[in-house]
Amino acid sequence: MTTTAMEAQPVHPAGQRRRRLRLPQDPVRRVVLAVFVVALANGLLWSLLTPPFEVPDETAHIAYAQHLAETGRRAGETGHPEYSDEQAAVMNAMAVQSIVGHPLQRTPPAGGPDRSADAAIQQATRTASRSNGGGPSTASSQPPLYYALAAIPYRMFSWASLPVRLEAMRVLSAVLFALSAALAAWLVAELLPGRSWAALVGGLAVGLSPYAAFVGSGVTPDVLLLLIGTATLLIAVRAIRHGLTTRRAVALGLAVGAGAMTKLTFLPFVPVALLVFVVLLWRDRAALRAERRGMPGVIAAGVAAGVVLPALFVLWVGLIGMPIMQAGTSTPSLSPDQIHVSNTREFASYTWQLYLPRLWFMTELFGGRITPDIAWVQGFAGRLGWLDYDVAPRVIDVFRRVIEIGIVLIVAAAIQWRHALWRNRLALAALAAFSLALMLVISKAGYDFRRTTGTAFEQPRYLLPIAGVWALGVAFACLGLGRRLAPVLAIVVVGLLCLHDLAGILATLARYYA
Amino acid sequence: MLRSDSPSVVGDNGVRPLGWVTTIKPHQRVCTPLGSASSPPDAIRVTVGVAGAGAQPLALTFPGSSERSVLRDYPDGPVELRIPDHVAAGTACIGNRGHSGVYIAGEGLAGSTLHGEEQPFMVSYILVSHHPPSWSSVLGRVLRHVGQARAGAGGSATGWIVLALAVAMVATAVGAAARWAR
Repeated sequence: MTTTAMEAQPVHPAGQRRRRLRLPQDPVRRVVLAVFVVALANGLLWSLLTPPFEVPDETAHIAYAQHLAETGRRAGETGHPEYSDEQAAVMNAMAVQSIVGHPLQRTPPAGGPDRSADAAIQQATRTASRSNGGGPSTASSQPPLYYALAAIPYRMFSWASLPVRLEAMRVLSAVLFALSAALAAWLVAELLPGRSWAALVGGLAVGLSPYAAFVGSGVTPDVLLLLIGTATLLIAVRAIRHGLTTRRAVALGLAVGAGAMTKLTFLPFVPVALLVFVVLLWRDRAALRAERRGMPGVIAAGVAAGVVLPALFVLWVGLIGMPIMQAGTSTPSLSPDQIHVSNTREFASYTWQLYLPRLWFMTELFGGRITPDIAWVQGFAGRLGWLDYDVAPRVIDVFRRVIEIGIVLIVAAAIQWRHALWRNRLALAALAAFSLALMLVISKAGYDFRRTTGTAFEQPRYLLPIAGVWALGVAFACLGLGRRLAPVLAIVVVGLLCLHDLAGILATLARYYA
Repeated sequence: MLRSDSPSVVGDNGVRPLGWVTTIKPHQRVCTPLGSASSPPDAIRVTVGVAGAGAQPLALTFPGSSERSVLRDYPDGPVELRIPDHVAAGTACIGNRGHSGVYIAGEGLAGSTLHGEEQPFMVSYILVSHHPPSWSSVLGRVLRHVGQARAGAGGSATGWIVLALAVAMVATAVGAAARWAR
């Protein structure tokens, strides 16, 4: 029965309900839905598996969300402690400080310690203040959009204990994570149309990543940044491939504004999105003039959408009497005589070594500990917790080999599909520009951080906004074996992705519960 | 057990081998609480350094017990001292029976004793078993542990829900691949 024929039939309430529940007919939508379901299961799984407060900086993010939910004010208030009395008591009951960074410490076991912890948490829920935290923290200098969203499930479960409210916020994160994987699949479908397997394997490369799922299921703005980053890439690619319209201009503006209100790491995306917008305005000027609102209307709609969330933020902080740039805490700096002087050539070398193998004429920097393998490959393979445990070494080795093979396959596919790549050069250039801008800002922050504190800055989660590029790379690598074998390789890759995720789950079970 | 990098770690005393905390001089004996283990350990793993002086015999003893084991030949780094049979709890002492000092790793937390006096450091003990429990024998207990101490946000079924979600996730992913990867 065709959709048209079905729509001609009489409609009754039950029938309406049935029709709403029908799966989408479009293959791309079906694949996107399947990726969403798998990623949601994975996100929910990780949200339950990871003990409370064990995602990096989750202590600070929960404190921020709680303060916003309880008081309507952002965190970073001078004179306040970082944690509310309730959160401090709950963290104490769950022995959080003795577990973080101590890979041999487990969560309170059954048979006494768990009941004591439960009793202490329930006591804190009944008696401890929830609103006296919100002081400066590692998160308080960040914008509030994620925390404002997290405040909704927090308020919905305000009657329950803090671990329940935390889990409710994690469920929100898991949904955001699943949406990110679905958008990554859609992005792949845009650039590799007519290949359902490509969208599937690309989306699952995000949705089944143990590292992305671990971070993405925690209470952290990184998951909203993952979603908004992927959405920005998708909107930009759709506007490039199908033309700029008022709707796409508004969507791009909203995504950029929301990203800027989520985490400062998103800021390098803003000039690139603006550049894409200007280029498309010029390229599509004839079509835009024919639109009802004309080119000025499209420009006005895009810009207005881009500034609406930042404007609301400025209005809000003005009303509550807080500064736009809020105080935070940071790693203690070295003494002035120990701080390394900044040097442009050294920074260029640092940037290179952070993402690419060191060349023969480059010197080792900061003890020679900067390699893409340490910074990114091992991290995405599965450096979990507060960077205090990893998946098994043999899993990291296999992941490294798969990445190397994947790079070879991408080169092979690029040669085979060079004409298609050339046809999509503007979309690919935009993806490259978004990626390079983010990578450059991370390396600049990392270089300055190492100079002034002597410690490493980079964490794989900072690259999550360009997860869509990773999805595209995985799908495109499958094409390296040729058109006929690519779907077979995609099945193998999906199997490897499942095994990789399971390895992360087992490592987490062993870390906290074995 | 569940991670190949720690196939036989069954417990510890909560102290990490972060750095050298003391030098055990010849004929000295440093005692430290053994910690707890999920199953009887066969050996204690400690991190030692001899600074080029060659391995010095190290004796593992337990106060109140005549049982002991001696490690004579070892490199710098993590070494295992065999726990004598019938001893599995309390305090374990490491004595230097050689002629030069042996560095030993731990953390700067009070806890170890030297000649009965508390020291401002604690030696790291990692308890290992050469016959660790099998996967199948610990999985049920591990899964029951997942949701403990969460005051309503978990429970003994949480680990089983995690397992069910993992099965559903893999089944959906593999099913989707079989459906669309053609």
